Amino acid sequence: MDSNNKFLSGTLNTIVLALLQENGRMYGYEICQKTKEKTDDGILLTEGAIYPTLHRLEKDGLINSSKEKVNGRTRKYYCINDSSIVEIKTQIDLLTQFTGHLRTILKPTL
Amino acid sequence: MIHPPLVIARIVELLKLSGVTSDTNVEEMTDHYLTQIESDISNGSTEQTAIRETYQVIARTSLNAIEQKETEKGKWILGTIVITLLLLFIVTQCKNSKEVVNSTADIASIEIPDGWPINSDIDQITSGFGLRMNPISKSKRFHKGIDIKATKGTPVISTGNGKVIVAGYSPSSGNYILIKHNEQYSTRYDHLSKVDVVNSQSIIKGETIGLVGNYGISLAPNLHYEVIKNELVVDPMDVIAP
Repeated sequence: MDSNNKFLSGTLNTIVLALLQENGRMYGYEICQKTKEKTDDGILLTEGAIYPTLHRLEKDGLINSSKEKVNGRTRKYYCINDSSIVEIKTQIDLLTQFTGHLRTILKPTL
Repeated sequence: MIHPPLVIARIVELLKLSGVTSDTNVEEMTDHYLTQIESDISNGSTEQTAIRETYQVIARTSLNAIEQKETEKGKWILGTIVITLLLLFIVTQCKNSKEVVNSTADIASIEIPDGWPINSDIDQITSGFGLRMNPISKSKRFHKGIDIKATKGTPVISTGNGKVIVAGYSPSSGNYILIKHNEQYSTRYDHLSKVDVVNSQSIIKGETIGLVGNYGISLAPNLHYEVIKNELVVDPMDVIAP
């Protein structure tokens, strides 16, 4: 987990955007769980990391939030801001490309 | 599931201890941890264990980043504003104290250019100092001096002793003269049909320096007269001796 943290710092934004793009609207806990499930516990997002990221993305206008009552308490949902869809797709494409490059570089040592 | 208020209160308390302070973040994080408890229970934990473990997670996880991202920026902005205000205050204080020294020292030596800039018997001010409707651009503009109506060729005279800084031409002012009287005061005369002085020439109060014209951006023969005090234009009518 600790060793993954340094990779997360530059990619967390894109991870969150990709998950939101795929799943529609999600809340913070759900994003943590989904990441954990998808990566077979390989990437564990902490609350201390995911919420600041969500708040920043919202502030930057890439995602929107809405509140809803669930079990008598308020839940904050996040979803992609449609007007930023091009920017989001570009971000995801760039990271996909980059991981491709990484693979080519790292492959020989595998 | 609906959680006992005591559990919610304890979570809120732990969150605040961990540095989550704003209402919206407390609300969001509370939901996070209550969901965690529910998830643990549905995965086979007893309610008690799930609650206890969640309390431990909150206490263990560093959550101050959740607030810091926003408050830090706020602090920066606030800090910058405070520092800027402080600097401004210091600068104006220094300037004021300097000015006090200057003015006390120079009270005797500073001669105000208080003469009337034209030698004519019309003496009609067609446009005063300050905001006015510009007669040519038809928009509200700040008028830096006064316009005195006069026939073309009326002698323009220096309102005080001084030295010619500029005897020149500009498209908007036409032929114009700028005279520096002392460290504080300068005067300017625009739209002249003739300039009788040259740069650096010493001038005495009442001396003819040029003739009224209608050059530059001007509708009729008139003298545009400006008084500059400490690099700012002031109302000439406040300076001209009654």
